[in-house]
Amino acid sequence: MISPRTEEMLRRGAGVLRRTAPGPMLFRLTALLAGTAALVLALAGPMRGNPWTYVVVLAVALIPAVRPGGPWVTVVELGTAGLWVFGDLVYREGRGIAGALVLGALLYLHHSACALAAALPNDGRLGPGVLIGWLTRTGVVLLGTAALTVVVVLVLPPAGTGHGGALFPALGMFAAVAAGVAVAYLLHRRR
Amino acid sequence: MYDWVPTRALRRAVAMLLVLLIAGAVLGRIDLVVVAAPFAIGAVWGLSRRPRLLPTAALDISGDVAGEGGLITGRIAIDNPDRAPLTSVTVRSHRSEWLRFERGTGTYVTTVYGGGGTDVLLHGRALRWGRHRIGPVDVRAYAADGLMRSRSIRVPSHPVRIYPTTQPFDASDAMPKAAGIAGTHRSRRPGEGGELSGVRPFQPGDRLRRVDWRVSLRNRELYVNATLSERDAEVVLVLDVLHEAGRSWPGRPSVLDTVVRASAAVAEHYLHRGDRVSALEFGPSMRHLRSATGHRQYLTLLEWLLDVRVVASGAAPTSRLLSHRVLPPNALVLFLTPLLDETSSTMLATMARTGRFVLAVECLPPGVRPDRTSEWTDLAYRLWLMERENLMGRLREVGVPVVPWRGTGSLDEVLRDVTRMAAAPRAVLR
Repeated sequence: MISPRTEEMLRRGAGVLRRTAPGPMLFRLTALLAGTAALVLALAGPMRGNPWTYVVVLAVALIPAVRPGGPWVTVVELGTAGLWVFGDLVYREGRGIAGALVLGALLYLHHSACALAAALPNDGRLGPGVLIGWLTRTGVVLLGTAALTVVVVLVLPPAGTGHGGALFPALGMFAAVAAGVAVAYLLHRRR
Repeated sequence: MYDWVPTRALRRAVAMLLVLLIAGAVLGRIDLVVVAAPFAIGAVWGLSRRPRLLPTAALDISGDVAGEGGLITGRIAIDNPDRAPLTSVTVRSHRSEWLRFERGTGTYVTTVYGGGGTDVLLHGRALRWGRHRIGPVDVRAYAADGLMRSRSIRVPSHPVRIYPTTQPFDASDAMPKAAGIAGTHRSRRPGEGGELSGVRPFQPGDRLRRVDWRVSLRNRELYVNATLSERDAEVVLVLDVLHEAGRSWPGRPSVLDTVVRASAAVAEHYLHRGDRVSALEFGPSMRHLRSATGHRQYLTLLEWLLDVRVVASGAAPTSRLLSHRVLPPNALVLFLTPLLDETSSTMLATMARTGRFVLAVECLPPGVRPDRTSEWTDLAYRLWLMERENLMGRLREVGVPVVPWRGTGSLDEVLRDVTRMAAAPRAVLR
């Protein structure tokens, strides 16, 4: 026997599903796929061998896809980056710059798909410019990232040579602080 | 209030950037910088193209008047005065339940280039008479790849007037009493009309063109043709708005739909013939439209009918209805009623007893019946039908003809009966 409250919830859920348009669903699906792929890429060591890990990964990736406007998106992305570092530190799995580039691309795809999915109402009928614009912008950003990675690999000394010393960590800290200040300044000037 | 505010996505991008860069610097890991790179590039590129001006929105409806089933078109115009493009603009428009749009209402998401604009075209039909609204329209824009969000812009709703369709109605020349001094109905009084009433001897003042030369030559005395004067009649439409029944839908009118459409049809017919028509709501509000003639009165009546609605109030209609100013003694009263309330039948009987020429037009659409809630519903419904038949019979006994509204010619026979009764002497309550 279903309680009236459950029946009401089911009815409301069915109504939401009935009104759902395919356009916004496409972005949520992209977020789900990108999140799952990023988490699978970040897995390390014995985690890869356990089939239950993939069930957990799918469940975790599903949360931001369902609630793209919530804080879970940030949690999943930071958790993925943390898992990546954890695997590297604990299991000594060197996945190289190419792996980091792919992980960065997947995380950014996840981030931007969630950003747009949060802006789109479930029942919104999308104009073609929305999808094409998003694909173009994301493509440009990922190409720029690839180009930057190539520059970084060429400019920076190979790991373990001891060249660079404290310069690059200091540059990294400076870049982080500069990025924070720049964003704060831009937002302060908003109208 | 700010026009543009950062979204959670911007906070997320900044958080990812800071955490990854600081972690990369502290741990000496270049791969974390690579992971952070797209967030940095995306955020900087997006914020470099952030808009400062809000988009503007306008709702433009071409023509705010239509008939039932008529076409309604318009557009929602979105303009972006800023040079920065808008990643997505969500346009959510609302509408009255009696307007059905094939496109244009609901939620649309589109992009708008910097300095450009876009239109959402509206195309639909009106399902029911009344005053309806298109809108309000809510517009919200996102820019900088979803990192910035505009405040909501609301465009006020646009009113549209949907006039009722006039069901075909025709009635033969049968009016109980003419009331005015000019018009299309023959009166019983002699005068300057076109209807020949007889031939009489010439009297001083008669016009020469009225002399009947044939009769005058035969009788060796001047005779003139006597004619009847022509009068107009006054029709008072009383609309019973005490109760609504049935669900309004194209092809399935409710009680109020039938009352309003029948009123429009009857009024169009009599006003077209030159009679005076007034209208009155039989309900708590007792709205009254003064009598007048002509096409202007017809348009006024259509406008007046748009505001007819059932008001949920316990207040019974007052006896003001029986005043001579509201209900002239010689007027033909057409009481459009579903006969669902005892107050209506009582008022009908009272009108007949006070000498009014009243005709009850029954406006309960066929097929209207209560929802089946138990096994007793059908039996109760049959009992109610029998009681209703009984009520109609009692009304006829007191001199109120009851006729169901069926459009063309449905009132002819009854109007003839009313005319015949009007000619007979009668005792009335004063």
